Amino acid sequence: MSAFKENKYLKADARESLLGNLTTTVISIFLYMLSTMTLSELIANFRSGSILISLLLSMVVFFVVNTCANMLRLGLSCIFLSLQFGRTARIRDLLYAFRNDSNTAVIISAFIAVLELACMMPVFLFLTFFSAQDIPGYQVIYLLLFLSGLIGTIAIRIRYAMCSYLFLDFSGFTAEELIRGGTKLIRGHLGRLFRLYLSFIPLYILSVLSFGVASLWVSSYTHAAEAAFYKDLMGNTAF
Amino acid sequence: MTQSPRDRLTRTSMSLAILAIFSTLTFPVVFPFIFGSLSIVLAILSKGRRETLTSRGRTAVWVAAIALAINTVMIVSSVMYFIRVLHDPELQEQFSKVLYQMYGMTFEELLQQLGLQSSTLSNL
Repeated sequence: MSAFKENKYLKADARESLLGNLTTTVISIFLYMLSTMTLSELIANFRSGSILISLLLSMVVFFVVNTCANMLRLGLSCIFLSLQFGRTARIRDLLYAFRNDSNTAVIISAFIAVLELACMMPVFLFLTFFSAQDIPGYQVIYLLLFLSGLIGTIAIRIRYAMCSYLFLDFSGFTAEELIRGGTKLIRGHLGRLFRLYLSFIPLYILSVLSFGVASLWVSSYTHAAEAAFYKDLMGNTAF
Repeated sequence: MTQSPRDRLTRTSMSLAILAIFSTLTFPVVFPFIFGSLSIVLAILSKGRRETLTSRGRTAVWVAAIALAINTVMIVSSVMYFIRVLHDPELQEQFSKVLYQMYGMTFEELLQQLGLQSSTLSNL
């Protein structure tokens, strides 16, 4: 019998860790969403005269914005991991990666941002070099490219999900060691983590119904479950 | 007496469920969806490590689900009634009369104000 917990027990651990701490987590998630949305506006409103310069600059902005967003995600991981181990979490922990061992945090975040950029590159190229008048079925092609980019980004997020927790637990390690360790740790458990994420779909549907308001609580739950998954993985793996 | 975080969460969930039902009857469409969804999410979170909801949590989920269902039925039936109004001239006349009595404008004027044409909408 597998020593690893089933997803329903991981979710139960996640709920237990959130009891009495929802204010902190919801405010942290709200601040994270607010900052990433504000940063994303930079990409959306970025235009320049020349096509090539526009493309290059929007890619650079995408990279910088995603690196910052990934740094904030490290902070979120810190908050939820603290709760998982029964420690007090503070909202200022959201900036943990900017304060502690920031060189390693920047390298890990930038590495993931580069991979995400690679996934979204076809969308950038398509938007830059083609317009709706040029080719028939423009919107369908755009949608397909966007969806494939999104699937790639999700795959990367899952593959490197544990790196952020390793960064928090093993502060003396280099970024390369942490990235390698993260991928090694998740090997054989990718499907399990993916199923864990999928199990939140009904709650995300409720979030959509609530015009996004409930997503603050649902995201807290998802992050807490991810932290519980890491805790379970570390407890049963020789790392 | 201080309440445990679980009890506080269940109580909040129940309050939101009641608000969802109340808003279904007073301010339908947006508020019931917000309160109802949030109530269900909080009720689920209040379970903690337990496998089942508390009786109050279960009530909150039921009340919120009923509010969501009523709200959805109201929206769907309104849209279906509107489509019927577009296709049935007799019903359109009745609707126009009621609209004129309530807001002082006919159905055609309302569509004009919204920048729509009844001929385009008839294709629905």
